[in-house]
Amino acid sequence: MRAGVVAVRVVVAEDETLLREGLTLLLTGSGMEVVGAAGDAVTLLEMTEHARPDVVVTDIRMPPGRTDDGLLAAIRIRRTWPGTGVLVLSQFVQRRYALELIGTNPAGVGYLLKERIGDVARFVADVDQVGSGGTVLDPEVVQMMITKAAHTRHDLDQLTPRQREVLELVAQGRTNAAIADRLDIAEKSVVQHVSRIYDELGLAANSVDHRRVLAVIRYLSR
Amino acid sequence: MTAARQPAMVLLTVFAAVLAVVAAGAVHVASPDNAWNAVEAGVGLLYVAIGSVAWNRRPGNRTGLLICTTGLLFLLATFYNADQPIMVLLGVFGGQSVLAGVLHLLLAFPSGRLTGRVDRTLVVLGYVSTVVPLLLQYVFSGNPGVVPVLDGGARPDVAAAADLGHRIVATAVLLSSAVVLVRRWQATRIAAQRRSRALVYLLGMAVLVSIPVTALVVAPAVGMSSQALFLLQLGVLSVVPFVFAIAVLRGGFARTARVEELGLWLGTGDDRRPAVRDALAVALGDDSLQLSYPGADGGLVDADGRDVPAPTGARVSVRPDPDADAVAVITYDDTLIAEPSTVEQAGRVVALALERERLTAELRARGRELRESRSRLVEVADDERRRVAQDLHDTLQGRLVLATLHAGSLAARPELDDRSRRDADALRTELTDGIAELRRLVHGLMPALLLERGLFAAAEDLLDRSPVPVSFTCDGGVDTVATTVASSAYFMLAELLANTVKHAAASTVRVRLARTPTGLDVEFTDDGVGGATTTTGAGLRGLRDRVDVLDGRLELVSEPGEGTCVRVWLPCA
Repeated sequence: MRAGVVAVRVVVAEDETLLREGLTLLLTGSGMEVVGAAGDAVTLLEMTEHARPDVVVTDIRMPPGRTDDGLLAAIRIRRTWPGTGVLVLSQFVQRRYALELIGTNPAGVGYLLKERIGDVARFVADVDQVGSGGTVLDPEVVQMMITKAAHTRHDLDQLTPRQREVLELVAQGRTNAAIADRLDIAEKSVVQHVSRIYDELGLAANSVDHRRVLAVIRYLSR
Repeated sequence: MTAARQPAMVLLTVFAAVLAVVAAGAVHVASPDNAWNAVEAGVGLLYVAIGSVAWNRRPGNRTGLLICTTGLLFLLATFYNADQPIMVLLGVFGGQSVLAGVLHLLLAFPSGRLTGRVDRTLVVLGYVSTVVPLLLQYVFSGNPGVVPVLDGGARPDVAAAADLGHRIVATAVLLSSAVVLVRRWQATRIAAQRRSRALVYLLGMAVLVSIPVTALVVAPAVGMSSQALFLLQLGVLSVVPFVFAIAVLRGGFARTARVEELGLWLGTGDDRRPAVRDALAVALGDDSLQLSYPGADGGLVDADGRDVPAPTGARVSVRPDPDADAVAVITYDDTLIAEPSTVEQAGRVVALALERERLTAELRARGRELRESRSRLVEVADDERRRVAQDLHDTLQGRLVLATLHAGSLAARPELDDRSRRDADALRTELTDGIAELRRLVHGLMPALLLERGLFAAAEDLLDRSPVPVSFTCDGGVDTVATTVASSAYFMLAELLANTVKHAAASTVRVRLARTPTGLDVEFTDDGVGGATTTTGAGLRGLRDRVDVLDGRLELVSEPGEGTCVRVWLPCA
């Protein structure tokens, strides 16, 4: 969680009342300030305009259209207020939606399966990361991207299982520290893995976290 | 008029006209003042004209045609007065064959067709007995105008013998024919037909006998001039076409002729047979005639089994026998056909054909209903899938997510001991697994992307998840297809992909979707083991069922060892 006295300001959009309230409680309980809770995409846009939050957490399927209204609102928010981070939650993850959401700028964006909110600490950290310009992609969508890329890009076959794991975590938007923690290895080894992966795939090294995510995602969806 | 008869009639008329013109020209050159010749040609043209009318009105009856050909013989006879030897010869044959033609008409009455060996023998003898002796007389006449190659020199003995032979054979043929006709008349039971036969036979025989009698007996006795005799004979002969035409069109055989017409139609092979409506329209002479059939729900249907409004105007129900249910309703113009019984009778002749037509109409209607109801079933099934998927998404999935949130919040409570925290974490993991399971289920029922973005995005997502590499192309806006078509195409692709993954051991798959003006093409090709059929595996059979329901086409090529290619076309305007 971000250090400092100013709480992260969040707008939550979810049409299921109970879930909306649950999310609000969860974020408030974790020290964030929920400045708006919308039940549909139109209200979400209005609240975002008025409250100018640090981050928006929204469902995809919402009124008025009950199809991909939340996703379209999220893309619009990212275009209109680039400083606002957008975390999209959904019952399903799709490669196409991930790519549409990221567009050309992976800063301050997240795309997660809804049930990830159950891992409270992790989820709150993800909201915080998106709010401060980071990237968070669901492991399932990353898995789909890598599977599909592996059909055509055979240099992925050159990676060791550990390197693949690291690549997946990089694509999910994890920092070196988070990857080290997750894999229970030293951060120095993560740095080594990453640089070897970059060599293998011919990617230019980049120290800014969201830039390296973009490089990997571009590589995977080429 | 049927298409086949029209050119024949035109040809015949043109031929007659050409003959008449040639004859007139040739004779005019030879003897400009010969007016008799024009009268003879006129009688020939009269035969052709009346014969044409009769043939047109009774296309199945050959009497009209026979009257026409006899008319052509008449026109040929006028060549006699030309000065070209070969034309003279033709004229001789034509003139003498006219009587054989009349005999032919008599024996062929009323159908215009010769039935049995006796009839045929008599008619052939009739022609031979006039032509052969004449030829002999001509050849051995010693006349200077004879065609050189046929000139046998003057042999009066041969010519006399030929004449005698002619008289004997002709008389014998005439007497035998009279016997045949009398027997035929005796065998006729229907009063109107007996009258018709009596009239035609008596007049015809009178004509045939009168020609030699007037020439050989009457004229010498009363000192008649040759011109007067010629005119008398022409007058007698010109009665013939009227007698036959009227007997066929108006007399006791008119009704039989209609029946015969329909009988001929029934006898035609199925593939060449014109529609029963057309046959009835021709036989009854009413082009506006319409047929409808009793439908399943008491209304009337057309030949395709589509409901039609109850016809207005004159109508007759056709029953195979008086107690049976009606098999068809004939609607006709009662200003053209005065007697309903005429239509009833014609209907009875083709009742069985009409019954078959009705059954076909019923079958077509049933087939259409069945297809429509199957298509409704698929639509209902798709709607139901969509509803269930939506309900699961809106309620159960939301609830389970909320439950993981509670479990997660519980696990995060600082006051919990380690064991309780582990339990709460385990509960959350269980719930997360449950949600993943439910997601697969809902996705299989109706993928969210298909509802949210349409066929292209859904197909792309499906193929994105494929463990076998897929190349996917899409032409035209496939998202404009109807919902049923879109979901059918999606589930087909899902089924085909699952089959390939499970059985084909393929290394690549190619998928092509293309929107055409009339529908949607779906092409699925893999390079696996092949040998797939739509009759064995339940999956591919289900595919064929879906295609059938939507009235589409499915083509499966799957030779063992050569991969599998499935091409599906689904109609969609």
